[in-house]
Amino acid sequence: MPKITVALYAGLKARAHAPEGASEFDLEVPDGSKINDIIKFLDLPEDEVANIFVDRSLKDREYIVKEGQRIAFFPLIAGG
Amino acid sequence: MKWIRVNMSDLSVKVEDVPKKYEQMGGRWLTSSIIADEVPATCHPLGPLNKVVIAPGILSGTTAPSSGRISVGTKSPLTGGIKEANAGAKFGQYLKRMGYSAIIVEGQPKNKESRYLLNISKEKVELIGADEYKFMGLYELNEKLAAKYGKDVGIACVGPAAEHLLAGTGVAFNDVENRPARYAGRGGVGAAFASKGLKAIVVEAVTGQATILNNELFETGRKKLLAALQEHAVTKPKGALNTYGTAVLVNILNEAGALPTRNFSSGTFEGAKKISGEAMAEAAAKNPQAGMMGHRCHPGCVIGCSVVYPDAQGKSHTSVEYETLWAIGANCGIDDLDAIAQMNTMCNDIGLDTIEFGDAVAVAMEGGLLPFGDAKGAIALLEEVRKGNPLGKIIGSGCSTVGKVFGVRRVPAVKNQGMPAYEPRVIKGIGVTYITTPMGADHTAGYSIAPEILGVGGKFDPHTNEGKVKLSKDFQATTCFIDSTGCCVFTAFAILDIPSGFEGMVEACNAVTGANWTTSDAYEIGLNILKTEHQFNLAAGFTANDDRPPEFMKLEPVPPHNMVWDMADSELDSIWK
Ligand code: SF4
Repeated sequence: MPKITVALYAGLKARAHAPEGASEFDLEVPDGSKINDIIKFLDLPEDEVANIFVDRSLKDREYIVKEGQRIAFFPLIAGG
Repeated sequence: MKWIRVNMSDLSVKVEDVPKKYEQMGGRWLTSSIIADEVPATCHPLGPLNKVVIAPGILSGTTAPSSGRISVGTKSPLTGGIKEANAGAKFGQYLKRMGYSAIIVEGQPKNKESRYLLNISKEKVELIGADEYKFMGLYELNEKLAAKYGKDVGIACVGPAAEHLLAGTGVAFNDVENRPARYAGRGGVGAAFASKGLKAIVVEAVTGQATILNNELFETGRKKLLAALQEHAVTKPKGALNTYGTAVLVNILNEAGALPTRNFSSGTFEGAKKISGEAMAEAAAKNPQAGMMGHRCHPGCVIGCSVVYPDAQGKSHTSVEYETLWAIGANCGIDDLDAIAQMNTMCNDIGLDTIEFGDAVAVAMEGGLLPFGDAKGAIALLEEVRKGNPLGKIIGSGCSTVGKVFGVRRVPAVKNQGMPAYEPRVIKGIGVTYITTPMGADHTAGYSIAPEILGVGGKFDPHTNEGKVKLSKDFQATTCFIDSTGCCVFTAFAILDIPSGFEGMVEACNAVTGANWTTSDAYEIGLNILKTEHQFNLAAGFTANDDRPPEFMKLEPVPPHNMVWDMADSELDSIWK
């Protein structure tokens, strides 16, 4: 069961399996979990999740997470 | 249309018909064309041969959404090349409604100590002696001018740092609440303006709509653009920009390992969350009397990305942008939001570009003048700039000057202009923009961050070089056109993903100018503006060697990705082929 760190930004809030109100927390996930599985597990609003960084690099939802990784979720945002 | 030509050598003011060649132009297209045609490329930027051109966009003064941008063009005292910087403000809207497409300021008064104010009303345009405002901070100046000329007037003005002729200064425009917080910030346009002996330009408030030749077409175009802005997740009401301001980017750039930190020595900042848009939104929600998200820099912006940040004492600071939070924050190792907001307000008052100031302080920190993270020391430096003391003059002249004075090799600048808030070794497309834009390192010139990091307008891997020259070129050309329309560059986020929005923008421009442009014509127009600007720089003495990154970026890998700038010079040069 790999342990990962999850960070949620700009209004994304986990609706399940996260400490109340926390935007950054550790999580143990089943072996072979894809990012998609984590989105479902946390009950994140699927159509709002736009960009996902794993250890500082953009990844797609099929990526299988590994022990100790940091996964950051963002909705569609921009600025300048 | 008419324009106003002000000759500061003989203090004459003329209202002239706009020559046919320039009739359909606005914003950056107009400023860059006039500068290229009328300013000798090799002239001294602070001398009598340089000119300052101020031009509202094609759509400014109309009801087209988010179209109140105003461009300031000149030969840059910072880069020595052509410059256009723009801001969103009611100033340009009034000017256009009065029937003026530009103000051209030329010459120089014989007495360098004199100050003047240009007063533009419906009845007359006149130059007035303004010695009483000499070296006055801009908050006080704007209050005084509003008391004298009316609370709704539009004001363009320069602060004491610009009067000291420092190359890190901008031109301030007043916002709706009459704060001098809307900056055409970059490239020393403030110093060029001040070198003319001008302290301020005041324009009378004008309601209604600027001239439109085809109202039906205008309405069609306006509605298409509006629909795109109201639909896209980034620009819609309660969307990302409206809710968190531009500083919503702090966390994502940090997570991407591309938030330049401590003078571009790292791509992550441990204090990022403390200086983010989320943190400001929380503070604004706690103190709605002093704070506000979703502020609009000019009437008619439907996006509203601006932030009024309330500090712990309940003092309001306008407008605290991503670039400022990064420049004075992460780049200087400062994670104290209140201190950054205070410096933001001080920069607004003194007349400094916050990006160039932050870059300059970070280089000074690296040079040992003060430690990274020293907010108090940075505030003290700002006071030195205000006074015009030698150290203040060095800081106010930008990061390249500071690097030379303090013997620092790691100077993040192109064409002497300090880099903004994206690490080019990690995000290659924005690197191409920084390096090749005629403006000197400038993110707004071709914001490839949209597809490289944000997933807006397509998706490109930020870490690879492939296709990045074309990506940057396409963004640069399109941006030249958008900067000419008067529409905020943030409208691009919507129209990149919703093509009918761009069609609407072009149709609205056709309705105002009588042109028949298609969206591909708009691209070609943009490309030609870019070429005009590049040609000016070549005539000013620039070569391909000025389209190069700072050497340290090729030699020093930046953590956490440990990447260097590794694109061949010949690939960079291909942008002009
Ligand atoms: S989006 Fe922001 S910067 Fe652009 S015009 Fe609106 S308030 Fe001004």
